[in-house]
Amino acid sequence: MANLSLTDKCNKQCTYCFAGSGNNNTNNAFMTIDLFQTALNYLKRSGIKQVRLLGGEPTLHPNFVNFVDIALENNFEIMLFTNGLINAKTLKYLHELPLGKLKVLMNTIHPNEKNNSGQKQQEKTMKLLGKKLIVGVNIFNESQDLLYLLDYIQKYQLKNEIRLGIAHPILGKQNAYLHPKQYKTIGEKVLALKIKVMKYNTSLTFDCGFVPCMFAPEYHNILRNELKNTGKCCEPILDLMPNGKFISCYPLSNFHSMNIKEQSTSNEIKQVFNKQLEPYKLSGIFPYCKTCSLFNNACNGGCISYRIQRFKIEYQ
Amino acid sequence: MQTATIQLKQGIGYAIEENGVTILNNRLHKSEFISYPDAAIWLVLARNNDLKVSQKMISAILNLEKNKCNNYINSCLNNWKNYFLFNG
Repeated sequence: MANLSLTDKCNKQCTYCFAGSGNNNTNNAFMTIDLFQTALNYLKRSGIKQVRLLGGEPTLHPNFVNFVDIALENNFEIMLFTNGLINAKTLKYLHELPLGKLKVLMNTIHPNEKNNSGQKQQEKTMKLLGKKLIVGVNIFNESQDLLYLLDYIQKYQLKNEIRLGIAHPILGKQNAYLHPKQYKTIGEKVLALKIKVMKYNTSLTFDCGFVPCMFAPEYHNILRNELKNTGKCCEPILDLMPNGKFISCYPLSNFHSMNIKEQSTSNEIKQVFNKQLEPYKLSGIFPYCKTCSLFNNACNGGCISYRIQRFKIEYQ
Repeated sequence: MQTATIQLKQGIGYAIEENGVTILNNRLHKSEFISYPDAAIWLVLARNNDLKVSQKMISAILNLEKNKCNNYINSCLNNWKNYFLFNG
């Protein structure tokens, strides 16, 4: 897996954004076509068949359609991470792509959100992309409602899948994120969503950072499919930024980076990053992780960014 | 007379765990775990610059008389000389 960040420009201002947008400073940088081609070569070398396009808002890149065309000509599948605020021309283009070639993951705006200015556009995007589109949400506070996601799937005949992400702290920045103390409250909400979606054969997908102890043990059986890899997925994802630098993941964007080289593969870059992260892996997100029977077994201790931050706090 | 002081060296951090402290040496990219009761000594030393104050606190926590306590602290500090900076 590797993500190509086409731009850090965005047309939303999400307080939790870990993509360098929202309240964080952006440079409105755009990936060049040469770098995109270099990135495709890197994906081929690494045996990766899917191009994951993200940003900022990737569809704001002036050459977005061109990039998708090039990736498809090179037999890649496309996974697009978007906020759904896509211009009509690009939306029509995405609508016309074959179903098997494109998956779109859209971060939704809650219907009752105060600042829901983009909601009408999101509805258009859902209507037009239908089964190509997976709805998702980034959870950054414990009061967030999740149950509306199923209504979107049913109303717009979307893919029967919901992606749940946790907003993590970006080292050195002040973004909104879900504090581990709030994980159990969110665990209860996720469970309620799961019970609701079970009737409709809709699956839940957890992004990185979910840990088994968010959920009461008596409910682990209900969540057995979702929990298979929960707690074990905090590894460098590798995001290639518009400036040609790889980062482990967005929360670690200020922690380390590496320039893309002509010959490097995904595994080689991950090895370097993992070595730098190794000392922090002795700790989990909670003080009780060290005494938990799942630690370093079924769970690696949660988001490494938060684990690093635990050390930073104690630095002072 | 100058007071003996102690402080963590640059690049040394720690995280408090339920059963001890995890020590991080950021410069060497290494970490190690110290369990209680040594971890409690670590925390007192890391949070108080004045060594005499730390000695009094640790003596009270461990209920050890002054000389025995100082010997115990010295043996810990001997193991942790890469982590702490002494003055005075």
